[in-house]
Amino acid sequence: MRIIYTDVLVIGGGLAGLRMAIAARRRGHEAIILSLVPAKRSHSKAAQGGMQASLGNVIKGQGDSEDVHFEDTVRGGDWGADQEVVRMFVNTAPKAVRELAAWGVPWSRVRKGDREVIINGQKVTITERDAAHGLVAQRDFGGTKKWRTCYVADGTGHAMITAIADQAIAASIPVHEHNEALALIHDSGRCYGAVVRDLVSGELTAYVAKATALATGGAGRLYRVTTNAVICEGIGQAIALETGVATLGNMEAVQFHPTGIFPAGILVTEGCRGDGGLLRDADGHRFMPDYEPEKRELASRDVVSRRMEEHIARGKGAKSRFGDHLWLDITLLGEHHIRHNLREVYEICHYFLGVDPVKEWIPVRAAQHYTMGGVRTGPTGESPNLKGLFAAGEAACWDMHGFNRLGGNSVAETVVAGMIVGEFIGDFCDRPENDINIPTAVVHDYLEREQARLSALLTGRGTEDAVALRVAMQEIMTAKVGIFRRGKDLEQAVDELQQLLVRSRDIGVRYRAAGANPELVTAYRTQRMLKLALTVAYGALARSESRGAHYREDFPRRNDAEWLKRTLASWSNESDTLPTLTYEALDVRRMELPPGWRGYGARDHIHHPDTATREKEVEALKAKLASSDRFAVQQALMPYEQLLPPRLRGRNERIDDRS
Amino acid sequence: MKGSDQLADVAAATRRAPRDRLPALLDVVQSISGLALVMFLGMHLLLDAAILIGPSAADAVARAFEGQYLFGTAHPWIVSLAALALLTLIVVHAVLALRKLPHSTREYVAFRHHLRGINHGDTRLWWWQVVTGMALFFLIAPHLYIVITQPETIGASASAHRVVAERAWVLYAILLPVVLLHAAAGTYRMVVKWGWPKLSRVRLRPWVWGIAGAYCVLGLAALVAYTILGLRLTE
Amino acid sequence: MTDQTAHRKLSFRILRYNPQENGSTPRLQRYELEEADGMTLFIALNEIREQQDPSLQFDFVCRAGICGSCGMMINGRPGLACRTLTRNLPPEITLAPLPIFELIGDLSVNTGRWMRDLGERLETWVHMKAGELDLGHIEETMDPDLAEQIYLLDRCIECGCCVAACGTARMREDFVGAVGLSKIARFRLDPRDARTDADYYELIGDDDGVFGCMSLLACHDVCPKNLPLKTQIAFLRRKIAAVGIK
Ligand SMILES: Cc1cc2nc3c(=O)[nH]c(=O)nc-3n(C[C@H](O)[C@H](O)[C@H](O)COP(=O)(O)OP(=O)(O)OC[C@H]3O[C@@H](n4cnc5c(N)ncnc54)[C@H](O)[C@@H]3O)c2cc1C
Repeated sequence: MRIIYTDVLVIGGGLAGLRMAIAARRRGHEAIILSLVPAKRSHSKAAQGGMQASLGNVIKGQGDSEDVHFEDTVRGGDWGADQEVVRMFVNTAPKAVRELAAWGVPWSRVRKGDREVIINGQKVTITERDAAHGLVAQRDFGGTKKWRTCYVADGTGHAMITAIADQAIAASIPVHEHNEALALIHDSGRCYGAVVRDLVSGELTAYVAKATALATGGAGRLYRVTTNAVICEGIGQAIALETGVATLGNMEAVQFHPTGIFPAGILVTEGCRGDGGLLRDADGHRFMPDYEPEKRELASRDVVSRRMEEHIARGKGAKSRFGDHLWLDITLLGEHHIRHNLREVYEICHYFLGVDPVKEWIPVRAAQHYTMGGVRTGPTGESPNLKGLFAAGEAACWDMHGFNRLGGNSVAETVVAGMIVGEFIGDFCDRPENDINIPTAVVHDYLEREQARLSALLTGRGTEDAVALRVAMQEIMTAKVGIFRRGKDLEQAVDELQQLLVRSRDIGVRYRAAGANPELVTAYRTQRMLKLALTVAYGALARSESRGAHYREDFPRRNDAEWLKRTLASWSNESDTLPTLTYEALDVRRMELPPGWRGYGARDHIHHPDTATREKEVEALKAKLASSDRFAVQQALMPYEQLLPPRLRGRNERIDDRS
Repeated sequence: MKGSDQLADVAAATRRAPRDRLPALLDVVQSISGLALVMFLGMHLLLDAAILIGPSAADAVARAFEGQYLFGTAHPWIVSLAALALLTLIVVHAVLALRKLPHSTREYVAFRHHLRGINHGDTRLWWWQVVTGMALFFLIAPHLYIVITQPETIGASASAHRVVAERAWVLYAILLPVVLLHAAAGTYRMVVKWGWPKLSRVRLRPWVWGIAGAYCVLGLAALVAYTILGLRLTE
Repeated sequence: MTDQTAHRKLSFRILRYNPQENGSTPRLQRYELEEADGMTLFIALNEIREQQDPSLQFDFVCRAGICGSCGMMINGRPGLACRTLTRNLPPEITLAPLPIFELIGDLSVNTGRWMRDLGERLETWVHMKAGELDLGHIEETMDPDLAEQIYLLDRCIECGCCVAACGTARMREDFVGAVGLSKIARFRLDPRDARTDADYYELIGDDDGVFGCMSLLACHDVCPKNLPLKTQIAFLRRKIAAVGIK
């Protein structure tokens, strides 16, 4: 068993991990990235639609600013987000797009003059400004007031990760591929790295580091139907949970994407609707305006997904032998647009459905898509409970998404958080008191513990079948912890998942090779995934309100009075079968945007007692500063700039500032 | 606000060792020599076809190349010289092409394996180009040997005699399709390789094979004509 | 998904070999499976692993034809397994790992390391012009058509199919393959990259680079992303040769 020392151990080679590693490296620290697969194959690759940043280059984005992006994001998250973090995020997102532009991402660009677009089912001609010609273009996405989503045709994530991974190669950052972190090494509230299994040789190695950064992505595979890659199993969150010290935030907040192709669940991007695509039912009727007259197909994802399921429940779904579904109609966008701006969509329809989206409708149904919850961190990206453990990207609950994230805000988060958290990791490593001082004996204990867990699976007498347990878990999660949730179902789900967890301690494998062994991998991951599934189900059961993507039929209203707080889950004891839940209140009195109606979805909610007071305060401040610029107003409402690393502060120029 | 520092970009600027031009040169020469040979072959076969007009036409062509109309008398050594130059060109072309062939058993086996597995037309065609190229070593040698050593025996009746009495028709009947296949494959590859003229392979193929086929017919016809003439001479 | 015909019995012959295991030798193993509607090789292989043989190794990540993990030889031709529908194949299906790349086991190969080495060797990143980036400022403009052209080449998913299909690469270990050449073509096109053709000549101006290409073009014919490899390699050859003979 080996020990490898480094300054920064980044677990995860997706956008967030790569960008953090580059930041740390540029600060002069040695960084190693671990990844299950070659970095460029991380699931960031699959992001199609785009990345939000308020550049305001296109005419439909004119007037966009950090302020509008801020409000959209907070509303989208149904006031669950940490508003200071949202501010940090929206101010850095334009910088991130511009940095990526310099690094070679071939962002689609604005072409001056007239062009035809589809808005609300109608052909409309819009005229792009001369001054914007050749600047990064934006498209429309759900839940946004302005066109703000920067994109590279519909291969945005692909182009982004290609550029960033290449920059990591340029910076000579080693990526240890086919390596999986199995446990975090920690002692007295301080994280020191991880025990890592080589997926080819089966060997265990301890990576000991000053700073450990988790960027392991989402946990979609807790569900049966998901848009996520097969490696999105939430192991990063699970090993943080298993420390018993770090906490996971808001794990019950799970996003379902309206347009997974049916039945495979492969995603077709929100850009389809952003660019003018429509949802239709079995009769070919465009039904979204009936439910959501303001935002129609472009309400936030949680709302659209629910409306779709509601519509199917009314018997309006198209029937197929795999069940009911609805239709996504992009035929009105025309062949040229589809072949150029929605290439991946075209390919996916062609290869997986045998459907030509230029002529035919695409069968879709909502599928699990995104994990808003994750390892709880403060604004610096560090766990408040476990010093030296950082997290960023989908695996983290930095908390800029609250209970629902907007399309395009996720890849933006990965890079922005990578930039910001990377700087704070740099600061952390700069401080001499953070040098590594862990006794090797402790490291060896961890190695031996993990070796023992593996040996138990390989040589034990376990009889449970990991695949069967996993399938059962996925069925429970999809059926009972899905888009619509009920107390009774959730109770059952929690019970059943607990039983599965107990059974999972008795998993046996048939193929007993210690090296490359897919069955062994399924076995130990399933054990961890069950714990994670329980944090989702148990958190959902406890939260007796509806907020964002978390929708309780038995508590359909958002309840700020009781639930304006973040769920924190920890797993105190290995023998437990349930996480321990605690809550972290959100402080209305410090919110820049006090809770209110989102602008779509349900209108009624139960107010927080402080909301009215804060609203008055905000009004008064705005009135008082009526003659000041927006920056002064913002500063007065909720100062946040001090939270950003110095090199990432500062305003963002737009073409309107130039004229 | 200052953004990212420049980590990456010294490499290109610092690496300024004198450039090795040879690879580019060899690659271009390989193609140019091939092109020259193809053009020569085209001319050669066209002129051979003079026999289809009649023995005197064939003789006139032969004399023309011996400089008869330039110097007043025929100098067959001109043909020898030209053939020597051609031989040099062929050797250059062949040596350059050798670089591309399998160099060891491992490479040979790997390629054969690949060829069988991939089942890909253009890959197969390349293999045939290699095979015909090899064959041409042996087929062209005797042909050129005669031209260089007995340039004066080129002409309607002497050639016809060779074809029939000396049984050269066997050589020519094999040489013709082999050289045409090689030339066609080479031309096709050259167009694809350099991307000029801008044609898709689907559009290019009929051209290449059409022209090669036409030449084959023409060449065979000339051979038949010589054979008939040769048979008549022996009678 | 709409064909209602009775389901075929599929017979898979899969090349099995685990170099990590002592005594393992390459062999073809046969598995029988009943076809299902819309079945892809992703579904089929997982079914085989779950129900018949837990030791079978293969790689899938996105299972949507986007990430490039699942390149393998499907009846002798390289392709992405995840988006290969079994209904487009005969009932006898032979699967083998991509050649050339280091074998991890069975159908799993280490394309990642190969591609990383290639990236280091060809310096496949934008070599920015000197001077600091000021991220607060409006980005540099780029012609919209040029941006699209760059993206077209940027779509490479490094799946390794072009390399596996390449006759030269099969014979010559160090050949950069279509993936390497198309990457250089991509950076050449990008005005943000400060390098000149003379710099690129140093990287690919030899028989391991663009002059090693014999234009068999199986790369072009198997590329799952339909990259314009034929025209790009030809174009590159002209430009790089021009540097050499100047
Ligand atoms: C189909 C699809 C389309 C999307 N489209 C968009 C979009 O258009 N816009 C948008 O904003 N967002 C989109 N998203 C969401 C967004 O792509 C992801 O949330 C984001 O890319 C996650 O990035 P990440 O860096 O956090 O994680 P990932 O990119 O998932 O990377 C995780 C990394 O962690 C590694 N890893 C995991 N576990 C371990 C372990 N135990 N040990 C070692 N390594 C490990 C993996 O190998 C991988 O390298 C989309 C998501 C999907 C599924």
